[in-house]
Amino acid sequence: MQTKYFFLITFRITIFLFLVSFSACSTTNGTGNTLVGRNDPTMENFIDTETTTDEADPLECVNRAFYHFNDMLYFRLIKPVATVFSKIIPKDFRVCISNAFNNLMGPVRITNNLLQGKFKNSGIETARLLINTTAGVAGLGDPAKIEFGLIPKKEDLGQTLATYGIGEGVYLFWPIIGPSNLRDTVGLVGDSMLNPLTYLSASDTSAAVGTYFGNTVNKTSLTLGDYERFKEESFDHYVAIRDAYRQHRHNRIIDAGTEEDPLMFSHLNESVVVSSNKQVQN
Amino acid sequence: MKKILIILTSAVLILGYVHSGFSSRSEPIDLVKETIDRILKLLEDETLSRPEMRKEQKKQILSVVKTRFDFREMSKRSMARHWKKRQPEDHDYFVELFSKLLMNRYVCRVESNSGSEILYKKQIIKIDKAVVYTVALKNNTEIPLVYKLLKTETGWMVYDVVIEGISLIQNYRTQFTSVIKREKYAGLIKKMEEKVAKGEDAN
Repeated sequence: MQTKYFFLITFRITIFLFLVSFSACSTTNGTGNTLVGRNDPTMENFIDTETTTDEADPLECVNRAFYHFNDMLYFRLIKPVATVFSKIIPKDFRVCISNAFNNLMGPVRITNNLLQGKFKNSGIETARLLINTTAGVAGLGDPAKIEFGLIPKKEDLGQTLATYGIGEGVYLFWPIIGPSNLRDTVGLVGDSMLNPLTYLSASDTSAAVGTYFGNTVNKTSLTLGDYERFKEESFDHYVAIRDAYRQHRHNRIIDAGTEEDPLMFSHLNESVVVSSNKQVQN
Repeated sequence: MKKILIILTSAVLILGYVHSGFSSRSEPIDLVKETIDRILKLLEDETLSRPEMRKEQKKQILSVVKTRFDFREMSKRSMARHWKKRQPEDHDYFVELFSKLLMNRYVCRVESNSGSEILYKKQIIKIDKAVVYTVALKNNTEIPLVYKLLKTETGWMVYDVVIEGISLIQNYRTQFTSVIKREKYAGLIKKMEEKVAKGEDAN
């Protein structure tokens, strides 16, 4: 048991280091500038922009292959199971399961809030973890939010690294996991060290796989139809996912929509450019 | 004396009208609310919701949406650098197709959120741009919907909708760029036509 545990940790650290070094390489190659490009207010205006780093995807071939694999996995396995699951288990209970998985990520959020210097938020997350684990019965309920008004402060290592100035690196689409990038993958590996489920996988791999699958099925059962609708509305579903992922991560990094959002309306500054364009063209 | 009274009364009335016009009706947040209320009313209308009236309902919704959504601006923004390379007639056709697609997508979204409460949180105005923050509340979950508006000659017009943090126009822009790169402009138009036809069949 001990050796297995040791090997697992060594394996993760090796991957971690490998990815960090890879990330450093790719940043110097220029693919890591995406975040900077997106923060540039003129990006919103694009009309005269010839190249957009937004669309950088050097591993598109491989990524697309994995995308097709995941897409198939969704329709052949996850969706049918989730549909049955949603019919058997009442929605309230599925929400509870989702809360519990979320609660397990508490330590990740506490640590990353700390690493970003957000001490108040770290405190809020600590309070949330304590309240929800006890009063919320192992995180099944969310009394911290309902009773105390403590809103989760979602931070992960990927975001922490971004605030340290590390670019997203190459875009990656992982089998099973889905859209990511080099930085966020490093983040995922790092964060997994703070996730109790990782230690479950060390002692009982099949239980860990089962838990991961259960979490995925449960999450899907709560959002059934969203994936299909998004696919239906897309012209190029793979690209649509890639962009949605980038926008989503960007929002998370700048804490869009929260009180910490410094760039919330920075794009409004370039309004003059847009209106002049409009007059010329109409 | 009577004359003065009349002048005073009318002055008060005019001022009151102008004031109400400025303070409530022309604020972006109120305009967005008014438009959404009108769409929701059409969607909830029992006569219009009958299957045979579906086309009529859509037509009426489109006319409401058109008063507040600037589809041309949206098309321009989603086509980005490819917009300038096309002829004006291409533009018109593109705007026509794209507005139908956006309509379907937007109305579909509003419909799927029906029964939810919409909160109009705040607006931020900067020169000729405004951002209106709304939240759809349903089953304890909050779905943030942000409208970006531009001041034009016809008033405040929506040029982008941000659903759960994802800008619709930016999402289309990356897709259009990718499709044009691989299948040229004609390929994109073909795909759009197919989608529009599919959307019309579905209703």
